[in-house]
Amino acid sequence: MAKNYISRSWIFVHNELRADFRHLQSLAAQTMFVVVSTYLIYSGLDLLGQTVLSNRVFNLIFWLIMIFTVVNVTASSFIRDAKGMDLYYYTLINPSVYFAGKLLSSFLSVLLLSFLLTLLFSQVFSLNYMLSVHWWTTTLLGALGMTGLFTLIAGMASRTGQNQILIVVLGFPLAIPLLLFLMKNLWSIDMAYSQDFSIMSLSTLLVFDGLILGLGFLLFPYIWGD
Amino acid sequence: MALATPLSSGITVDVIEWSSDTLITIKGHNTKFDDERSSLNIWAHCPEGYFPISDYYIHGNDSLTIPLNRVIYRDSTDNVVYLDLVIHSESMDLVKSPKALPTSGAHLCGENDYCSGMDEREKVSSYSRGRKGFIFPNLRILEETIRNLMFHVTMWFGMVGLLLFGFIYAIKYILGNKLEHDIWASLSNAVGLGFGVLGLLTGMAWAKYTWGAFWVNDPKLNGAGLGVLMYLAYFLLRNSIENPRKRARISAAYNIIAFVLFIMFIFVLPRLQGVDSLHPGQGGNPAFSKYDLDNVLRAVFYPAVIGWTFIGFWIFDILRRMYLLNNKN
Repeated sequence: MAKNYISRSWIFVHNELRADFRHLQSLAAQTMFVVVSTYLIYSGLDLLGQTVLSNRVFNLIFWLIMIFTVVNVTASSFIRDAKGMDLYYYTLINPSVYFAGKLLSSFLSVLLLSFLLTLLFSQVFSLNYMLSVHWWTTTLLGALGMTGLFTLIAGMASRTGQNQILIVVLGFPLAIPLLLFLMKNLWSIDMAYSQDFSIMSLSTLLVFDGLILGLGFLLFPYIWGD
Repeated sequence: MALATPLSSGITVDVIEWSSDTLITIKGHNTKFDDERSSLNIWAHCPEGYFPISDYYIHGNDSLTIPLNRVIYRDSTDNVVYLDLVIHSESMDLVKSPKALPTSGAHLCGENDYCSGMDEREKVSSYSRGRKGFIFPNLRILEETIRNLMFHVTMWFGMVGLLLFGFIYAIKYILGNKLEHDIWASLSNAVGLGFGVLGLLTGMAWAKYTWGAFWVNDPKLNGAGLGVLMYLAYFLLRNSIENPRKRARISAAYNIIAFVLFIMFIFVLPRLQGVDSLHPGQGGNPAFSKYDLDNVLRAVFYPAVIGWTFIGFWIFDILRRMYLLNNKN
């Protein structure tokens, strides 16, 4: 029985991942969003005559684009399951597994997009520090936190009538401290000497991620069962 | 009472130096140097005792100057020593400005000198006995704005109590599914949010006088603002769902997230290692040691906290009864 349960859950997660990539148009739309945003920033700076901004400003711009990307990805992953589908899934699998499946597939998409955005930023604006371990770990943790948060919020909002604006309204106040933590961690990433980058410095991010994921797994089954 | 009670007297001391002369200017707050000229006493306090200074010039009720070369004191280390300046007059309590008088000189205390043999320790201690009634202590920089303690801080305490109540009822709804628990939670959150907004406004008024700006980029302030935003989003969420049961479920879940994160923003974040906050009480313990509350102030402050909490719950109760009356069917 347990083995059956585990295999069913794994099959669902597998399906989610494949569904995500089957609907490639949404992924393509996100990619286009990322590329166009980068180009927008580049041409905007070019227009102003100064392509050289402080690195911290670039960090901020990167993460703002990431927030919008995460919002879009998580929203589309819930919209994909039309009215009938979520009932169907509800009868089939544990809501926690459903949450985990959505989270995982969104997280993978977000990771890919963050990879793309990092490459673009580092090449277009010549930011070499974006190809470092410090950057990648922070981005990974930040993306995990953002995705977890917005998956939970999107799950909540998809139960109501007007989900687009609600995801933003509910989610942004909760995402702001995560953004602040990220900025703090990336504060001196471009300095010549390696700052205090260790597990301790990532501790706030880890704790926040743990809090978000914990709350998510606790509350999502309650929201979903209707 | 918080608005009408006077502040105790306080002084600010400035030292002006030019060539070989030094002048000490004293600016007072709630002082009556001129009116109480006859009962005005000024002492320099050094380890040997309290030595009176009689060469001073009064320029008004708030203003006093002392030429420095009248105060001579040298300790065994031959360095410049800063003595405490103690002032008393009839309506003032004993006012002390620690380490305000720089002195240096060739005369040792006790040798044919200005400050020899006139230790007035007993006289000073007789003046420092107790204070009549309740007055606010006069603290550096804060001065009159200490009155905000009775409004802003007490309101936030009441607010946290109300939001905690809402949180508990959200959990009760999740466990029990009784619709009225959810209604009570939302009403309690509404009153808590109202207190929060008022708390922000009083805090901004205080900040304008103390820091010079209505808002500063500070972790505690940002956390408080974000908390208010989150609860506003909670009400938006409630308004967007029609079905009462569904509304109750979703808003209970969001209430839990919002409360947990709110407590984290207000209490945990500003205390983290390496996070500096301008807000009073951070960097110290939450018992406002920075305000240096004395016992008289505490005797009013703690009941005020309880009072504001009760007012909040009273408003909540009125709203609850209004709701029951409106929906009697």
